[in-house]
Order: sequence, then structure tokens, then C-alpha cells
Amino acid sequence: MSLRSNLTFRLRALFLGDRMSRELSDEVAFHQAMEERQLVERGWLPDAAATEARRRFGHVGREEQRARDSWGIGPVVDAGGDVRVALRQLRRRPLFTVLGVGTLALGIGATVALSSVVVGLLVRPMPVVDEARLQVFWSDFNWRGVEFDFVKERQHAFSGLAAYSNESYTLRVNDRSATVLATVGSAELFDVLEVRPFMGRAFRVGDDRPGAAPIAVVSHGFWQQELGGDPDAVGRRIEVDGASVEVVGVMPRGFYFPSPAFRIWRPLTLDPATENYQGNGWLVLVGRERAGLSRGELAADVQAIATALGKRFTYPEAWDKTRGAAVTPLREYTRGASKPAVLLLQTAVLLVLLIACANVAALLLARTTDRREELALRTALGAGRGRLVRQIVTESVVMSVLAGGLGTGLAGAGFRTLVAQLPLPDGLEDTLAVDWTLFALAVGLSLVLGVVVALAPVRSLVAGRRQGLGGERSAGGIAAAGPRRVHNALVVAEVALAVLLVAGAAMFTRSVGRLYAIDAGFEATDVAAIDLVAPTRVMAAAERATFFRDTIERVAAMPGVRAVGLVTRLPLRDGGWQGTVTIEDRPDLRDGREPNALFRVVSPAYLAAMGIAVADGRAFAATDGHGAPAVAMVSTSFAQTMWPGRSPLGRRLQHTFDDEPRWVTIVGVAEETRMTRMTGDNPLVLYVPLAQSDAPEGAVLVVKGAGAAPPVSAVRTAVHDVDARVAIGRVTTLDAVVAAAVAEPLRLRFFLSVLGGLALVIGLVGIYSVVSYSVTRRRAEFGIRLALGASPGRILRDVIGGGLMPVGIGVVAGALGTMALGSTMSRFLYGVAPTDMASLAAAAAALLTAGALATLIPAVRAGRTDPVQALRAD
Amino acid sequence: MGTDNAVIKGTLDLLILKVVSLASMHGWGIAQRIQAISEDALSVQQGSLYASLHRLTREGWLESAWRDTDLGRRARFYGLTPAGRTQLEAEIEHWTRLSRGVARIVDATA
Repeated sequence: MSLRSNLTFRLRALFLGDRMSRELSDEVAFHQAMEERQLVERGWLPDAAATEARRRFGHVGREEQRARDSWGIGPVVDAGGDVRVALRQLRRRPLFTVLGVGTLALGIGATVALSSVVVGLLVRPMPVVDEARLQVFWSDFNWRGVEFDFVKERQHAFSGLAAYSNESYTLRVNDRSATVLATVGSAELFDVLEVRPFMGRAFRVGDDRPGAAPIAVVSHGFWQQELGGDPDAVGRRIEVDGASVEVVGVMPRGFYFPSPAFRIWRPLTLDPATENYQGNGWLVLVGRERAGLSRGELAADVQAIATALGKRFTYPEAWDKTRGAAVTPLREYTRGASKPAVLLLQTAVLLVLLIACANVAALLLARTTDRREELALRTALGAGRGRLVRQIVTESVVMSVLAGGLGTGLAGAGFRTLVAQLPLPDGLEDTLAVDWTLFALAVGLSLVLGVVVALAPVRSLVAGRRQGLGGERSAGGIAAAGPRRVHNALVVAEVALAVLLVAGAAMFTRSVGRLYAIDAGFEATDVAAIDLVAPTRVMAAAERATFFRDTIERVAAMPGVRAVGLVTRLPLRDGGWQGTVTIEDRPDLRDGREPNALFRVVSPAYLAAMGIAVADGRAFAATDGHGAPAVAMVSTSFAQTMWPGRSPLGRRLQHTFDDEPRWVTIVGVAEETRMTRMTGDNPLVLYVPLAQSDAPEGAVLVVKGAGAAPPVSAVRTAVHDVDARVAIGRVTTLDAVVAAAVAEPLRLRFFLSVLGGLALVIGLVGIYSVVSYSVTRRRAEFGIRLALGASPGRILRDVIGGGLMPVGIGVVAGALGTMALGSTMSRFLYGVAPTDMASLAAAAAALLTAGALATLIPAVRAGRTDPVQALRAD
Repeated sequence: MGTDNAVIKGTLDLLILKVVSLASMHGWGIAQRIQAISEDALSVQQGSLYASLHRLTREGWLESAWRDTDLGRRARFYGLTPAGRTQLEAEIEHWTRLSRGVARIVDATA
């Protein structure tokens, strides 16, 4: 009830303490004057009355102190005093303070910055309700509408099931065309995700059936950027894919699905009268698992669905959905299995923080040991043990807090640098933020560790009380062995952890180097890839064909362009578009045993622009036109798999992308090109000429510069000049495509290099402070030895040897640790063994060099000790 | 201290609150009144009064203000707050129960 007045009182006491003390003294003086007056009135002599009044009152100082104690701010005042003393101690040794606080702040800042990115990227759930219960069906982008409706009726394990696919649309805003990535979904999509719109409505029943009005739900970002944050945006019409579409809803800020790059959601059209419903598989099925379902029940239902599908539909072997029936958690499906990488990075981050903490511990230990005499004296003079402990703990806390304060700035700056530096998945950088919970955890950890280590020497101090000052003095000349052992142990630990990190970073660097050394099969230098969308709704097939032909012609003639080609899907970046191939002279590969191949429509100069070599036969030419004999090229592995040891030239095949099956003749073999990933199996590839195919809606213009980056903006202008209805989508370079293909190992390498570097720097500082401290402690010893005739060089060697000893032990321990932990690393490495000797040797050399550098300065100082001064000082 | 009429531990709060509830008063006056009302049966160690006064003020049961006394000297007067009145009632109730219980034990016959 009186909590507030109580607090007010205490705050007043805290901030107006002097005034309150004065008032208290006035009060006491008044009391004694009154008492004295009364005594005089009763006949006492004035002097005797004054004495009696004071006697009756009691000890004024003590009573006033008791009154002040009752203000309830004692602990705060004492703590304030402790903090002031601690700050004074820290100021007295500026170098140690800067090193200790600085490295800890670096450790905390880096830890928080890195962990924030890692957590945001790999741990934080997607912005949907209960992400863990969202499951994606097998055979992604391969479900037909008819299958979706069939499964929806027969499943029991899911409370809701939705189908979706990804599209790239042209968007017309203010007479400018742009492409926008869109997700087309069945009416159930948002119900399955359990996300409500911020404004307007999401999809509702019937939106995905024939005859429904064209609508769109847009992202918060789209609403802000394209619709200007219009509060009346619901009901507005936008032009998407050449048609006017009504905006019916805006999703809340921060929502994305399936990735932040998608800004529009439109309903599918599930029309049984279309080939898209009956024939083509292009959908992803995602379901919300019922709550409380066991793994077994879920698997059983999924298997039952597969069996039912097998009875209702007939599948060719290549697309058999009755096999491999399983569901994948949505998160794993969209982000890949990231748990191991998270674990690896978090471990590395924790190690760096531990190294920084060990550093501060060594520092505190040094100072506490240094102050043995002072503390022993204070103990002898009656200072309470509790008071001394509190003082030491306060110092440690003050250091951690200072480091934490500095760490906030470093964390923020580090985080921004990281986000700017890292190859991040589309649009994800906007969803990342510094995680202050992590910050609190890091500071908390450093606080706890600091206090624990700071308290370690207290026991011996309190024990030293019995021994008294004499004992301390007699040992004063030569440093006690106890704290030195602890110090060396800390150095060993720091170095071992640093070796682990540096060796790990070295292995990743080598591994990424190996990945880059893989021949992707094309020349990525100075090549731009420009996505073009010629919308089928507004451009007829003939118009599209003309557009592509004219664009290629025009761009090829531009200065600074060496070659220009067109392809439907870019290697390494765009997967998909595969179909079965029937080979004329392989009758054994029929009736469901037809091989699968990626199907790529290309212009004649595509291979030249990409730098893909022709291994056999010829490339496409201008003469392979519409009326000419149908031709094709295959990849090297295609040729070797189908006709091992024989030439594929002149042989014929059929593919499923032709409306009317026809035989096409192989005229050339293209060198193997990495199509989906840098490592692992590469799919077979079938190339057909653009002029002999239906002009595609979307394609990638590949422009090779003449000795420099191609003139992309000029190309853009040219494209719009040829036909303004065409939208230009992503513009990237092939280098970026390759980098994205190795992004995961690249990210890991980046993180580990930063962490390894930090470990090295912090370790160096740690070794320096420990050796430097021990040199200071042993000044007297060096003085005596020099006076007795030892050479400065001998002392120098001694110090370096003594300093490097724990470093050496740490290096060995770290190397052994790295080899022991190697197996957990191996899954991330390509072409590098987890026990890679070169990496280990590099790490050992780095740490030993750092150790030698760190011991050198104090060693030189030791060699220069002036015996007279050193002995006098003690 | 240690004399027969020392205030029983823990009852000083009650005495102060009761005395102040009659009229706002300065510290010396409070000590005098406790002694006078109890007809010298209770005496307060004068100096220790102030720790209690400040603690009760901190608890929000007393409020204080500097005023001139009849004799022209400024003194800090303590008065009861509404919260202090509630507290006083609680303390009286507690004391009554306690003293009744003690009395019953003392009066018990066999």
C-alpha cells in the first residue's frame, strides 16, 4: 500500500542524502537542547544539564548512523563505494583494463552480432502459426490439380491442406513494367498457414475455382512501396500479368511465404477443363498436421494417401508418386536442413566468448594476486571477509558491465557489417535484427564467469589471514607458484580453443577453395544474366519469338558485348523443367523406363556466351530454323550414359515438351555443365533450338562482355525499345550465381574466419597480459639474478621460454581436440579431411607466432631490469 | 537499557504511532509523552527513537514537516498518515491479543 511512498523516501535519501543528514543533526540538536532546558528548569546547573542531556540521549554518532541505516539505502551506498573503488583500481592499470575490457567487449559484440544472424537465418521460426506442424508433401512442384483435390478428400492426418506454386509475373505500375515474384495458392493457403491479413481479407472458398474474380493479396512491403501505404488500398486494382486484378487484402508486416522475395499471393485456378488441372504437375502440397498426432500415425496416413493415388492414377516410372511417400517439415523444405550448421556456428561463437572470458579471468586473477598484501593488511585491520569479497566481485562485475556497454555498440556495428557482407537468401536480410536476448545472455555469462574466477583467489587470501603479513613479505621477493599455475592453465585453455577455431576456419577456407576449383562447365567471368518475361496473355507466340530474335540481334551488335544467348533456365540457379526422353535406338528404355533429362531451349549463341565448349559435332546455327529438320544437342553425360563408347551424332529421340511427338536428331554434344549443385550427381541435359520450339514466356538473356562487365543498363534500354510490354526481372552476374551455389559453405567460411581471427587476437592479448604480469611480479628475482651476473639475454630467453610453454601445451591440446571433433566437421567440408594437417599446421604456426609476439615485449622489458631499482622497490 | 521499565521489543512502533495519533509532535515531545502517559512506567532510550521515527516515515506511516515550536525554535514534527492509522489499528489489535494471551497464562490457576 505504501510501496510508492517507501520508494520515494529511499530515492530522496539516495539523492538528497546530505540534506537529510543535516536535518537529522538539526533534529538531534533540538532534542538535546529541549532536554537540557527541561533539566535546567528542574534546577540543574547548566553544565551538568548539558552533560546529562547528552548522557540520556546516548552516542550521537551511533544513533544518527542507526537513523541513517533505517533509510534503507545502505547496500546501495556501499555498492556505490565499491564501484568507485573498482573504477579507481581499473584506472590505476590502464593497459590491463583496456585489454581486458576491450577483448571482452569484442567477444561479446562479435558473439551477439554473429549469433543474431545465425538465429535469424536458421533458428527463428517462419512468420506462421506453429511452423513445426506444417508439412510439405513429397514430389514438390509436381502435383496436378486433380491430384490435389483427390488427396484433400482422402487425407485424415491434416487439419488443412493447400496447394501452391511460384510464379514470376509482370506488374505494371505507373506505366513501368517490372516483374514480381508471386505465389499462387489454393483457397485454403492462408487458413493452413493460420495467418490473418492486416487489412481486408485473404483467400476464401471458391477463389480458386473457374469463374472467380481475379484478386490478389499483397505483402506489407508491397502495400508500402507500390501502393504508397494507401489506407484504402483494399479494393484498388493493379495490373498483374496483363490483367486488371483487385487487391483484396494486405498481409501483416513481417509475414512472408514461402520466402520474403514473394510479394503477391493470387488464387490458383483449379479448372478441371484445363491441362493445368488434369495433366501438368506443377504444384506443391502443404498441410497442417493435426495436433497430437504421432510420427507413426502421420506416416501411416501419408502411406495410405500414396496407395489411394496409385489406385486412382497411373504413373510412369519417372513420376511414380506411390513411391517415396513422405512429408518434410516446411522449414526444412524452404531453408534446407540447417541444424548441423547452426550447431557448428554456435559452438564456435561460444568458444570465442569463453576465450574472452578466460582473458578477463587472467586479468582479474593478476590484479587480485597483486593486491594480496593490501588485502591481507585490510583483513588484519579488521575489514570483514564479506566486505573484501564484495569488493573483488564488484570489480569483476564493473569490468563485465563496461565490456557489455562497449559490446552493444560493437554488436550493432558488427551486425550491420555482417548483413551487408553475407550472401543472404532473397529478401531475408529484412527479417534479421540484433537479438538483445542473446546480448543479455552473453553479458550474463561473462558476469557469472568473471565472478567465479574472481572469487577463486579469495579463499587463499582469507586463509592467508592466519599467516599474516609476515608470511606475505617473506614470499614477496619471488612470485608464488599457485596463481602462476592458474594463469598458465588459463593460457593453455585459451590457446587450445583458439587452435580449434583457427584450424576450423583454415579447413573451411581450403574447402571453399576446392569448391570454387570445381569446373562448373561454364565461364562465369563478365557474364550478366537478365531475366525476361514476355507475358503470354498480352503477347502471342509469334510476337514473343520476334521479340527474342530481335533482342538477341540488337544486343549482339552493341559495343562491349562479345556474345549473347538465350536460355529458358540458368544453370546452377534454376532447376526443374525435366521430362522423359524416348530414344530411338534404345528400345529397352520404354514403358516407364524412359530416362529423365533437363530440357533447355537455347539460342544458337547461348553456348558461346556461356563459354560452354562443344565436345562433339556442332552447336546450333541460324539455319536450324522453323522449317529445317528438328535437331538437338545433349550433354556429355547424356551421350555417355545412352551410347557408351559410341558417337551420339545422328541418333534420334523424342521428348515430352513437344506438343506433337516428333523425332529430333542429335547434331552435337555440349560439355558437361553443373545444372543444380556444385557437387553430387549432375542431371542429363537436352538442348533444343529456340527457333524450333514454342517461344517461351520467360527466359534468361546471357550477355558476355568483351573483356569487361557487359553494359547492362544499355541492354535494359534495348530490351524495352524492342518491346515495352516485356518485363525485366532479376539481373545478376554468373559470378553471383556461382557464389550463391556455394553460399552455405561460403557463409560458414566467413563466420569461422571472423571467429578464428577474433580468437587469435584475443588469445594474443591474453598471452601478453599473463606474461607481462609475471614479468612484473618477478622483477625482484630478475634484479637479483642480473646482480649476480646473469646476462640479459639469459633472462630474455627464460621469459620467452616460460611464456611459450603453456602456449605450446595449448597448441598440442587444441590440435588433438580438433582431430577428435573432426568427424562432426566432415559433413561440411568438401575435398578437405577434418584432420587436414595443413590446416592444423597453419593454426599451430599462427598461435605460436602470436605467442612469441606476445611474450617478446615483456621479455625485453625483463632483460632491461635495473637490479638496483628492482630490489629497492620491494 | 536493561532496566525494568525498558520498552518491550517491537512495541516501540505501537507507542510512537499511538502518541502521534493524538497530536503531531517532535521527537523529544514523543519521548516525553510516552514517559508521561505511562506514568513513567516506560522509558525510551532517547537516541534510539530517531531510527524508529525515520523507519516509520519510510514505511509511509508517519509524515513530517519542519515547524516553529512555541519557544520559537524550529523542530521537525511528526504526524500520522492514513496508512499509519491503519497500521496503528493493526498494531493495537495485535497487542491486545498478545497481552490478553499473556494475561491468561499468568492468571491461570492449576
